[in-house]
Amino acid sequence: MSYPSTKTLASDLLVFGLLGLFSFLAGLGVNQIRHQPLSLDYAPPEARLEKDVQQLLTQQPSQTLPAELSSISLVELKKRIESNDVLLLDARAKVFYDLGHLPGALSLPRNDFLRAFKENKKAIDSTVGNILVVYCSGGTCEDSVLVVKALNRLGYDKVLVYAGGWQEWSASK
Amino acid sequence: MTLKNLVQHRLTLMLLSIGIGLIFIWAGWTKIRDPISFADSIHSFQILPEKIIIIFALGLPVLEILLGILLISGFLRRPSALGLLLLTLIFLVALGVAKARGLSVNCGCFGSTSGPSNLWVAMGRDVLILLGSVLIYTRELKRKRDSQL
Repeated sequence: MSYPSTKTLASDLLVFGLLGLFSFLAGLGVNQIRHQPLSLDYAPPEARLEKDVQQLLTQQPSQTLPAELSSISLVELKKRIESNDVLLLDARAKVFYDLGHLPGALSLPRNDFLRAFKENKKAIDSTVGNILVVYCSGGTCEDSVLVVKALNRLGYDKVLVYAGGWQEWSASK
Repeated sequence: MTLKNLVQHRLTLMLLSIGIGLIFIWAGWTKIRDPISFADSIHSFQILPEKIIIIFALGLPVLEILLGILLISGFLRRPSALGLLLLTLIFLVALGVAKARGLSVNCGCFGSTSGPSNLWVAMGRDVLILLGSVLIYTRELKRKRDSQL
């Protein structure tokens, strides 16, 4: 194996450092020409979702939160899909929804809640009396729980979590 | 042909450079498309302060793509290989620390995923990339030394 001399290593590290500096400046520059530039102040997912909900609450009143989240099993979900009395909402990032989703599900990603909620509000509201079921990838994913809580805050009380998510659904096919 | 000859064969190293370069270009591209999800992944590691998370989420993918392109093109291949080696080492340490702390992290290695990652798989992949980068870097060093003789 060849080992670098101190001079070679130093020059390689210098070039890498310059490439890094250029990349970070380019990344910040690209952000400025994005359709919606990211704010440099990072906010965790829960805080961003709360901000979206607060913004939506200025347009419609808040209602009482259900005490606990209710969940739905795969068997029950399949029955409800057959009887067509459920609206499925996919809380995963849009890219995963595009790759595959439960039949008839709408995309309501946790990371783009405000836009997607406004886009799908009509469909969600037209399921009055019926049940909304939110899912994400399954396992320990939190997106569905966060979206259910956000929907509860917005006054939708018949919202269930399908904890098995996409993982369980696709395995059951 | 011995294993050593095979590993040091010009074609093997060229294919390795193309393979690792493409992996980093793909990884960077998926992150550039969805920087906020990558920022969430970085946040899940609980290593960087929140103030610099977005800067990393915006800059790191560009660096990955740039290093990947340079590695494939052959221009500045030696410093690029060293850069990828260091980046992979940092990723590996971050994954190892997360595993040791029992964190449920989303590695964000190839853009957003909606659930936690299997850290053993991610670490195994990084070890392979690290070995490949070491091989390319040492080969480039040898080439430089030979050309000076």
